[in-house]
Amino acid sequence: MSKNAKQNLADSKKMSAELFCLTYGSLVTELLRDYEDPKEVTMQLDKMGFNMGTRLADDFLAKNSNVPRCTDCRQIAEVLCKNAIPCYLGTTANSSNWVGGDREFTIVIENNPLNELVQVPPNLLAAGLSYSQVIAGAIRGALEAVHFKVYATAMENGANTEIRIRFDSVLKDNLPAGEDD
Amino acid sequence: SLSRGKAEVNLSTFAVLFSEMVRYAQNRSETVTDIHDKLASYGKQVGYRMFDIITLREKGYKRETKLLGILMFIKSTVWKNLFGKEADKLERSNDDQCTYLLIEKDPMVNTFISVPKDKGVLNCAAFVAGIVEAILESASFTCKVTAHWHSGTAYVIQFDESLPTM
Repeated sequence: MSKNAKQNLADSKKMSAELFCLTYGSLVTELLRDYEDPKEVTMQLDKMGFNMGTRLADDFLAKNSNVPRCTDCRQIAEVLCKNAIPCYLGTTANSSNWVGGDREFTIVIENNPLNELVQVPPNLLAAGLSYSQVIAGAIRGALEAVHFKVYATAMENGANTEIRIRFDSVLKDNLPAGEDD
Repeated sequence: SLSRGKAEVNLSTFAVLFSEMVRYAQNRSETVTDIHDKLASYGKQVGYRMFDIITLREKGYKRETKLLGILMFIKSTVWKNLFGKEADKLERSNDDQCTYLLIEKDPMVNTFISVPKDKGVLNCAAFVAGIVEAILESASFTCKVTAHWHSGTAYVIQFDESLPTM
């Protein structure tokens, strides 16, 4: 902090992952109390993630001017795994399981910081709670902010979190003036 | 795992998460006091868990039993663990022996929330106040902690009168 030596890419401030994880945990607990149905909670988390994603997309593009414009799903996955997820979650991710002519893929997030210190009761998982759905929602929101419509769902898988992403379409109509190249 | 710690995430990620939580609390609340209560209850959830982690890691699972000890523990150790720096000031109220003030110039949670004009007294540091209250409670110091605007943000810690002071 003394000299601004560590101003590398992103140039972003860091904070305790535990405070972040526990804060998210208390939000999920509150939602479970308010909604009772775990499926409904998953939907709410997805909505909140969407709102977060649209704002993070701005933040990301403002701080990473070197990231090129994506033209296909392979590039989207590459930017998500190599840039966005390490930047915002401080962990690594890989894409795999490409199907449907590269229109559907899975991102595996290792050491998901949201799952640190957390144990989700199996009965809630069985009833449809997807604990990390907020990440899927954020990806959906962030991509929609750059005019890609996707469907995303999160699944816990032992130590890792898998985000299944299905590409739907490019949103051409609401392209703001001057953005087209 | 408990021993690892020190992992970090981007502050922006927390910022957007926290603002979603404030929005959620706001949508479900009638008054500013309700919002404060909700944020404090989120904070308490965090505080109870953080207390265990921090006492285990930093104090070899020995908890403080002296009032001043626990207050200093919060000001330095807890604050460093949560926000990466110490809180700015710890004061005892002149009027009331049971009241202490923990002062922080700009709390992290307030740096990215713009308070609407009609809710001028809203202070999202209520979330942090909840954390402090839960930690003191876990250490068996019954108290009420509230956040106020006062040379930055002051966490007013009102101890139960039955507690021996100092």
